[in-house]
Amino acid sequence: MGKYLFLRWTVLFSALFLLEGKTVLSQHFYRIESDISIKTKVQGGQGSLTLGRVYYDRTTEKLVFDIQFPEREIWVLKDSLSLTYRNGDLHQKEAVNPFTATTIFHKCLDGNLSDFGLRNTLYRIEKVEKEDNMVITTWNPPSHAPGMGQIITSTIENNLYGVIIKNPAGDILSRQLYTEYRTVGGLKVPSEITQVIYRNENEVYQVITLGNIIINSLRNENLYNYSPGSD
Amino acid sequence: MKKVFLLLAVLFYLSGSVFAGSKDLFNIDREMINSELSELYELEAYIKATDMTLSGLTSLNSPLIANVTANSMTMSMLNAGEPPLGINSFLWGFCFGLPGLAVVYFVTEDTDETRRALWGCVAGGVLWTGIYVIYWAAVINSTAIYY
Repeated sequence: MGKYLFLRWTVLFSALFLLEGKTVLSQHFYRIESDISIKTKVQGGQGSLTLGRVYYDRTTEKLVFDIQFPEREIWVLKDSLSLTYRNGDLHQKEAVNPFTATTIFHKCLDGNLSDFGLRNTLYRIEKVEKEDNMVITTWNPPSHAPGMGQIITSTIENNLYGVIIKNPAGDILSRQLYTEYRTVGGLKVPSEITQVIYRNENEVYQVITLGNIIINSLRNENLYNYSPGSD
Repeated sequence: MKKVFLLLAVLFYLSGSVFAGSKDLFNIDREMINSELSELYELEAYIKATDMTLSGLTSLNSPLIANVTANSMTMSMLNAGEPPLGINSFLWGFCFGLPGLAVVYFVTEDTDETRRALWGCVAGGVLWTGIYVIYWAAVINSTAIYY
């Protein structure tokens, strides 16, 4: 039970880790699709692998995963609903915290990745430092948000490189690296995201890889607007 | 190596703001991580070559999935934790007080869910205390009027 919950947290963090972004001011970028591979392992425990292709439409804020592994499924996330389809039939329906508009896909399209999307939040810059080619920004949470901790971001050549998320006590919850940027259709997208999550006495390692990225595709309409029977 | 890394992380934290934003804070031992994930890389290559699913590999009793959990990344895992019986942890604490808090703590083993239950417990306590006070105030008041 504990391990599964731990993995759930891992994926929650991967969802969080897929947060925010700014590469190019990009009001004309409205769709992104990509192969996605998520490899996660709890230190000394079991691992998980998720392979598939992801489709995101910024205008509808609908995120669709066409999953190949572990099982062939379609996952649809929109607003506070997550739907799982198997062979076109609804397999699972759940309420989730709405987060599609805060994913890396949305922020890349929106042009908010370099500051981790924090500039448009209640977080405020405490200080900005420059070390070699890296610009490091320390962000403080709003004083009336007791559950939120400091976030430290770094950029290299205006591309988001690292994110450190802390809890209110100052303990590091996760370290994230955004690397291997690819320029696709004028949009810069990190194709590898490495994360270490610290939880209790354990560490969770995660690598997310994006490949075969396509921007503003007019194909695969049945997946961008997935509905049962449309696949 | 992990211990050294952890120690460094702790030292960076303890050293305060002077080092808190330093470049070294963003050092992640990617070699170690790739080593930890090596079995998954191997599995990924196999899946891409064969187009198999986990259930297919399970039926073949493949050694590639010996350390792979079937509960890998379902939709429910995208949500923040899972309260007992699907009932909001706050309500467990709010309605059942300390026993509800204990249920959430032991079932979920999740600090955040337990914290929600604790807040529910506190809110419930405040509410019931308020009702208790108002009730007795009303009783005393009506008694005083009666006499």
